[in-house]
Amino acid sequence: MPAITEIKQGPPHADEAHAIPVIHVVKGEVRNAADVLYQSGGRTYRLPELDLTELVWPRTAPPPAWNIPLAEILDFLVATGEALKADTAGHLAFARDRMIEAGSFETGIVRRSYEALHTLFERDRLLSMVEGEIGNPAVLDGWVPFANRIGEHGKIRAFPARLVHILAGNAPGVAAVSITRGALSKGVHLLKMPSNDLFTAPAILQTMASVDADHPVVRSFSAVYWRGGDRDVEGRIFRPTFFDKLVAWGGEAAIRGAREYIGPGLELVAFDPKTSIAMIGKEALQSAEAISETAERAATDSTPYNQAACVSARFHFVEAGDEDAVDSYCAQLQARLGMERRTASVLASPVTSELQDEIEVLRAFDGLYRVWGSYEGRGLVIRSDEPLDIYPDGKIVNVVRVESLEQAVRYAGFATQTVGIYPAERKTGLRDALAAAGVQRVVTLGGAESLATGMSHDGFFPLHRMVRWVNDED
Amino acid sequence: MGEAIERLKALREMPDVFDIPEEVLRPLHIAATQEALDAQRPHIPVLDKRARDMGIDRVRSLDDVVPLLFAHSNYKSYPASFLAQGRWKALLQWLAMVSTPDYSDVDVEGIADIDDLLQRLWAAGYCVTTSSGTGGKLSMVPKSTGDMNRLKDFILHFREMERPLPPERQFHFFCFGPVLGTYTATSINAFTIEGFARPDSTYVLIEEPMRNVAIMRMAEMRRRMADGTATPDEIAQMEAQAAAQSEQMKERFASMADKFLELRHERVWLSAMTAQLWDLMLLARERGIERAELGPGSVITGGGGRKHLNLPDDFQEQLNDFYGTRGPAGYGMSEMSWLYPACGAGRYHVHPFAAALILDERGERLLAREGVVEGRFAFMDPTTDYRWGGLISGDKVTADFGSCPCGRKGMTILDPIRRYADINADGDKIECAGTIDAYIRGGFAQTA
Repeated sequence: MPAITEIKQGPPHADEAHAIPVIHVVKGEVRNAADVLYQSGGRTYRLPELDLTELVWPRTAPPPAWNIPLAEILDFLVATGEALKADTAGHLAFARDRMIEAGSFETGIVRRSYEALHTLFERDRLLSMVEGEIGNPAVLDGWVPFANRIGEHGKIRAFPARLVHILAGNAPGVAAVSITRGALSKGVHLLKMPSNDLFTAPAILQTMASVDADHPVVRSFSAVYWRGGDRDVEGRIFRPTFFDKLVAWGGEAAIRGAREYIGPGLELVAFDPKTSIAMIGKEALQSAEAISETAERAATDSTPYNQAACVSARFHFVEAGDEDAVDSYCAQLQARLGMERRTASVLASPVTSELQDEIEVLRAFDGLYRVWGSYEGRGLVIRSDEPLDIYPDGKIVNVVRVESLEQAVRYAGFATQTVGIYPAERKTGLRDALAAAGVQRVVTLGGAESLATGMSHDGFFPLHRMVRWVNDED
Repeated sequence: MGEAIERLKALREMPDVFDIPEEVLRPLHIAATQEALDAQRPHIPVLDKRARDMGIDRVRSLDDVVPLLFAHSNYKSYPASFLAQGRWKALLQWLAMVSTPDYSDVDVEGIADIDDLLQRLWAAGYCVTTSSGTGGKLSMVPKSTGDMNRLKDFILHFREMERPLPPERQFHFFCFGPVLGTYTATSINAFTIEGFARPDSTYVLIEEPMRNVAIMRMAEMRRRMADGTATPDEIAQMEAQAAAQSEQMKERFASMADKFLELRHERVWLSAMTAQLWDLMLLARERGIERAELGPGSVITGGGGRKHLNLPDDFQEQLNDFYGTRGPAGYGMSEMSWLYPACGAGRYHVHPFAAALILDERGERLLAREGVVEGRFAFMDPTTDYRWGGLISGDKVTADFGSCPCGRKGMTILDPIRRYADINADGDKIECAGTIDAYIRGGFAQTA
């Protein structure tokens, strides 16, 4: 069987003793053999070898859960949520500890993210997802009558599909939401894990199996790792004979890589790589209290997963009514970037030396720029009169002074996901222009991270695209 | 200049500069680095800050040098808007932060673009060499005429380490690159021509000066295409322009190739990038020429390696077979005063004027200097004027501190040399759109 390429095989490796075990789940069954060693980001992992044949669901049979009523799937997901909360089998704890060991995220962020995972399995949230993203839930269970104004009629069903999900690793919620949506769609789902989260998806699937190992939903999921872009794997299974859709979460390379396999019969559902910004009106900086409030909201929006998440605001466009107010905002923002939050830690990664070199230069031109904070990862704010040619990451914000927010709209584009605006009243005047520019989400500043369940994501309704719409026309 | 620095420079007079054991050079490198630090620190603000932050005033060992090394990016740490908006004064002020001169004698009046500015700088004795990497941001490395003369000295007298060539303008010379402009590779081409090209038989692919403005315009266009402000017409126009240019270049290339194939059995010098050597070979094969069979004593220089090129795995073997070469003949980068030439045993010999430093992958710690060591390449060159000579590269190298099979005792670097960025790509392809890179690597050995 083709193995994962670039993985050392054969005799025990010196790093084996310290290797972090990775579990694969294949159609609900655990694979925990330590066949191969894999190195990434300075860590060594032990993984089971891949068997490509068992990673696909033959088209000779419908997906296992295709005819399970939605109500039953909801019950099962709710039970899974409760099991995740209790974690009596310890699957989540195991994954959490391995995540911490792997060090992609700070310990507190991993803990708090894992503690919140079960909330994604609450009944009302799941129903909101179905109702918001697909409309009438009945289309998931059967053929729903259809009629239009010109007298045509028939029946329509949201039929389960066969999906490969190329997961992103910048937040554990990505795995959880892919699983809940996948279960609600009733299709079959191969979850391709990212190197920065090799643990969350198998832990949830194992927990699901602990509720009912034979449940058709359990048999509808696999979660495995291979190196993204590995043609030995992707070239063989990314085919319309096996899958209908490729769901890619972010990562330009992943989406470009997936594109190679897209063609008739295999569709790309892309959560494109995005960045986010904030727009702050002069009304939000009119008093010391207002500045504090605004800075707190802005800091919340700038730090999800220490700014690794696409919703994290990197550039703040601030209406420069009063220069002192802007500088006071920058100072307060910097102080608040260093606070622990649900998905942020006090310290992010230290600023890279390359960026340090550039920021040092900016400090020297104090008429043009001003810098708050230093390089240890506690948060840094750079004020300028136009966006800098840097990519602010790891809790760095570029505050850009603008004459008016309307003028700042030109800095938003098709790669802009979320725009956090403050005060909220300014949204009305800006949202059409932002939408025209390509923006997908306008929120009241402070609300970037809490995507409302059932509303669109990256410009589309994911569940709606994760099924195949089939007609029975009279 | 300090006494140790002068002694280092005087090593040029040694019978074989590549045959000096590393442990003999070490104390001299340490002393010279201290002199350079003392001399430059008051004039290079970013060096002063680095030394202060790291708490290093005295250089007692090579370990003390490591925290003082600059990243490559230091020479493009200016805000892009300075260049885009023509804030020349601010750009000079930035240059003064990363180098010793204050550039107050450079008149910025009437400067229209970056090439104008560079011309004024060169005219004033500031040889600022440029290169552009990913994203098109120009890096600017200030050098003195003395620095340039040392590079020329290397080109004229040390490039072929096994059989030194007198610079007697004795070759039919084919330069498949530019000879005018601020790229370091351009200066190297010009120096080589000055030393070795027959005035009656010199052929140059790009005779026009390399304009940085053109590169900047491309980068600006890419940016505008990215943010959606470039119109379809503008994109089409740019593509048509690029196609016309490429067509023109192809014609010129073909006529040079004809001349080369005509003269190849005489003593020729071929200076070309890997891609061009490849194209030249294909063109020759089309005409039924299976082997170049170059005249005795011919030389091929250049290189660039396979990077980003769609070449077969055995491209180097095919090239060696066609040209009768042995493979890579030098390793270096534009920030170094010299290059490291390859010996008969195919190893790159570290020159004595700068300490070659092998660091851990993160570039934070000096590795033991004995036996064979693998790590990140860095160097500290105390002989440079204007700029701090310590730099960390992106290259992963294997170094041998023992003797070389060729018989010399100096430290050597072994093939292959790879970039950490390529090794650690983790499945993600890193885009680097056809820019002329500062690295000159994977060249060719002198032919039989």
